[in-house]
Amino acid sequence: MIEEQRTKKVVAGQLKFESEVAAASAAKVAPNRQVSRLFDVPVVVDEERCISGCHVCVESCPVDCLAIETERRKAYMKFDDCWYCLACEVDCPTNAITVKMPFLIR
Amino acid sequence: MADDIRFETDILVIGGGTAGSVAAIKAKEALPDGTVLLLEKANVKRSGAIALGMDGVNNAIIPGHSTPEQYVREITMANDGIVNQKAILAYAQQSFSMIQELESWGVKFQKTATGEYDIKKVHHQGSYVLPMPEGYDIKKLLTRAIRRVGVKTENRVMATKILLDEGRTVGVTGLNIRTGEFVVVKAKAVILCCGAAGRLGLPASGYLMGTYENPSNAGDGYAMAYRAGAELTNIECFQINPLLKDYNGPACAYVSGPFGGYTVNARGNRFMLSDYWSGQMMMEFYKELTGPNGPVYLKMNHLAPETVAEIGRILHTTERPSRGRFHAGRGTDYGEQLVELAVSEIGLCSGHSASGVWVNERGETTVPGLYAAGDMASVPHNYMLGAFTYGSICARSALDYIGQDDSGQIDDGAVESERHRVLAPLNRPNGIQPHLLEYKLRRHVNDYLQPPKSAYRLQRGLDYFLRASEEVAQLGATDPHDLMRALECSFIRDCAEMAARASLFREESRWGLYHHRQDFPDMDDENWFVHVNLKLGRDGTMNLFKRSVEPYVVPLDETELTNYRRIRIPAEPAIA
Repeated sequence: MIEEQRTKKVVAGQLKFESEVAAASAAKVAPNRQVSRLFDVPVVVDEERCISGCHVCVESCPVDCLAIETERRKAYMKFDDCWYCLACEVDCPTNAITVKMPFLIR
Repeated sequence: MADDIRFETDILVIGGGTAGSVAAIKAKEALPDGTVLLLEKANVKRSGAIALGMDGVNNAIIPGHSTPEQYVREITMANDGIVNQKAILAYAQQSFSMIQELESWGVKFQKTATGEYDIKKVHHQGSYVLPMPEGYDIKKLLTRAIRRVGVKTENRVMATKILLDEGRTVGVTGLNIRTGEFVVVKAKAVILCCGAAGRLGLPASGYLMGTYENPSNAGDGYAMAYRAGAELTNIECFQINPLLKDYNGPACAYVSGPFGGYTVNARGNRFMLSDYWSGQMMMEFYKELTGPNGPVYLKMNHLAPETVAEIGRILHTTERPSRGRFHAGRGTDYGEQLVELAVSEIGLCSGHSASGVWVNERGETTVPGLYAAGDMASVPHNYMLGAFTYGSICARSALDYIGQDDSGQIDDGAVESERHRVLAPLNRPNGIQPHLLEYKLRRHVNDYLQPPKSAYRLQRGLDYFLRASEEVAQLGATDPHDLMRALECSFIRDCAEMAARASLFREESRWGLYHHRQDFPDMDDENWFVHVNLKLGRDGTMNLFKRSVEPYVVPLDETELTNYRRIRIPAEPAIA
């Protein structure tokens, strides 16, 4: 019933749902999804210096936001959770990492 | 479905930060033939509040500089009298030997030319600050000790629930946040060392992970202890700290203070007698910040260039080393400009204020076999050294407890229903994204719980936190990392509900800004010289009640008790 209303063609000037309760329920069954794109992230990895097979930074991160990209076998910031604590930068054996302040607090 | 990962251990420590590292080391030292398992959500080498080290001990009681009784008096004053003095005294008496033990593990404290501990005065009354200019590698030293004594460590496993058998602790369930595997641990005793509820309020920057506390500490320990039926206390005594504006890390007055730095208003005038963090101090700070002479700054530009350089060296290598990068990015030079400060988001953290899982002087919670130490246990103003000391105390208590009756069994039904709850978001890949619900929860915390408080606002907040249970049940996750964040939303919601209810319950104002009620602006010792405790009732709702303050072991007279209410520098009388 709600699904039927949700997919109904919108006509200008007419309510799509018969009540606001139905509208709210529709929002629950069809939540918004975000489309992936590249972001300016705090952890910057110099891939020339990053050693393939090393994962010291990934182990250091207290919020587990780093990972190894499986194809190139280099570290990257996978999750947008950086606490700008510098553990990855301090522990990297080849000084390949630079942490920038996250944009919102820069 | 993959099989669960199962462990069995004598003593289980949850959280390998400050308190947990020491709890595990001390337990294993005393139990060479037994097993001690340490579960860590991150990796012990870089986890918890001191992941990047610490610049000093804020509460060292060094013979010749102060006595345990003096310290108990100071912390009683700083908490407007609502303390369990026995628990503070246990810390005060045992912390000096902890300092010596830390030194034997390689931790370096500042000494004078004659080899004495170089104690500084930051508190309102006594001298308790012991700098650690080389404190950047303390976590590495602890990790080395953990390995040396043979503690079994499982990194990247977060605990989700404490398992009970007839009210006694018998283990926990957990989640491997990398593989998504469900973990079941059977243990004879459990020591909770999960840190503060640091992701409760939303930093003013709007950056979710820009918290004062290490954001791994989402209040896991508070929520798990509550769900296990343990009592929590002083939750309405929020943690609010004076921090570098936007950066949201400590400034830090404890480092710069002994070198001559201090807090000033926008006119460059000092307005507080003491920069030691207390609710009363935060009230003066907040008044100045939001008054006509705000904002507030840390002043170091009157110091000699060598002094400024030394402060910078300490601030930029320990605790939050990116402070230097933040200031460089904005062109702030400590020797030239004042450094702007602001108030932090609210949190729950006994390390700085007094909120926590109720523990006595043995680190025991009100649930048999369950212990708590560090920022999540209720010993007030306990800081790093308190976490170390109570880690050690809890280890001793747990060792005494195990072996008395180890017949407790894990209930398979409870494990099954927890597995279902923990893994459910993976079945809803299109469910609400965890970071969205987290933002919404924490934004409501700011809107309604942040002091100054009032019943109408607190109630509006509480209404939402109750409604948010439905939203928690709609969370979706597409990978184990997301699943961790989803589970944390549930911890954050529990903490928010506790913070709202406890704040509503205490109908007076106390602890300066920490519990300033606009509708009850005065302190009311007649009715409220008590702890407000809460626990999960048998009917599944949160019960709040008064718990009497234990008789003092170190008496204070009335003048002493009100010392911290006189933090503000009185205005100069106008010349007639």
